[in-house]
Amino acid sequence: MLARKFAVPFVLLVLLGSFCTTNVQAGDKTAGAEAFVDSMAQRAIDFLGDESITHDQRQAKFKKLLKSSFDMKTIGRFALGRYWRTSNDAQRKEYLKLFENMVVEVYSSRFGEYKGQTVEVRSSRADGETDFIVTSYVLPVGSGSEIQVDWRVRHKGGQYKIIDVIVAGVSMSVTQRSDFASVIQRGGGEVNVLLAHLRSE
Amino acid sequence: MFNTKAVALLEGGKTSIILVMSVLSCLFLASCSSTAEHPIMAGDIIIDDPLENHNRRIFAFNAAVDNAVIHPIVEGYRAVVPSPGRTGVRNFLRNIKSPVTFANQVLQGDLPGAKDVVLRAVINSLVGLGGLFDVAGSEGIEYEPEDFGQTLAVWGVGHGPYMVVPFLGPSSIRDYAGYAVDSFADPLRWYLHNIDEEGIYYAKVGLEYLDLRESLIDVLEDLESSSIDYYAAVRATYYQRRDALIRDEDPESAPAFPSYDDF
Repeated sequence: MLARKFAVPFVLLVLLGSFCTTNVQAGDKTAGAEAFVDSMAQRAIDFLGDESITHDQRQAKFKKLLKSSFDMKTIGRFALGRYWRTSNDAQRKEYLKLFENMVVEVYSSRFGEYKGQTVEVRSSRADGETDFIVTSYVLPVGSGSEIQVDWRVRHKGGQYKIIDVIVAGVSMSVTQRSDFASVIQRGGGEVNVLLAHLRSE
Repeated sequence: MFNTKAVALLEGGKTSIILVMSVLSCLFLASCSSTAEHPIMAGDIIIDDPLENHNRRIFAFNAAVDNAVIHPIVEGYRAVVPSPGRTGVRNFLRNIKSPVTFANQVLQGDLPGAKDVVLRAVINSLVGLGGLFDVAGSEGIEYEPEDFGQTLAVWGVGHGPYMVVPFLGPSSIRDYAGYAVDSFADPLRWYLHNIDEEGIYYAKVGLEYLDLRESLIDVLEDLESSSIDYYAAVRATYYQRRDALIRDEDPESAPAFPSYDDF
């Protein structure tokens, strides 16, 4: 077990290292996306299950991991949908800041209730030029069924970033976009209505 | 004897028949407007909610019922029955639903799926102590939820208008009609009616409801805290989840993302 614990990060390092070379094949990139999700999930599990650090330290570490693994700008822009075009630069800037804060808060409180589940990356496929869908399963500790979690990973500027999480077929980004669109529509088509809500969250 | 019983059952099911009839005509209309393409293309879901104001009122009513009645009951269920017991209940309910699941797999033309339903029912009934243990599932024959709403979708029927059903929650004309058909056609119901034990059937329905609510309580709490417009978030989740079930959770069609190169 202990050997396996070290073997996995080692393999990941080797895998990640191989992507630094130029002219990588698409297949390698797919494997790279898989390794990226796997290493992110294992890192998260490592400190989420670490009893020796305080709750606040855990949250801080988790926020840092989220910020480094998720492309918040892309997710935020997607979530704003067609209202991105109708908003001005100041609104966009404020929106992206508020959005990032919201996502980080939501996720760090969600994963704060971590009960020892494990994540198993099982497959992946390329989707277009830059995107990869990595399919993983969250395994419960006791009884109960596993949950399929798909990660949309984008390879951009030599880096992998998560831009969507799809839990049992439900996309976080699509749900958020629908939520925001409804808020704006019911507020008379004003992006400021959404900003006011995000400010008060 | 059987005939009079059957007539009585039909009488008893009169409301469901009327519902099914009225709903089938809606379905016909829905099917005319349905598109062959996938609703979640390009990250947008097609939401058809002409009765939104009405639906929002029922949604608020359901939320009030949830807080006052359902949550305390689910908490009680969780306190009294530990997790393995609740899983046993879920396995059992899935097992006795096998005839309905099987019929829908066949109607959808999914013969490997239908074969799995039969294998699961046989294995779990015999080895899994009457369905309490999902032995087949741990051997790799996974449970796949099927209902007549999904069958209609496979046949090309669109959702039709979104609707929030009192006590039941999010649905659509198509899926609610499917639910009515499944309940009406369930052989278990006919059997229990014939032996004058229809009470058992309603106990089963109650237990199913409890199981469903217990499985959703955390998900919904999470969605409520992470959304601004909870109604819209539930609606979007409903459409996506149904879509995933119709595709038998095939990850081939995750919503696409534009590239946003002009950042």
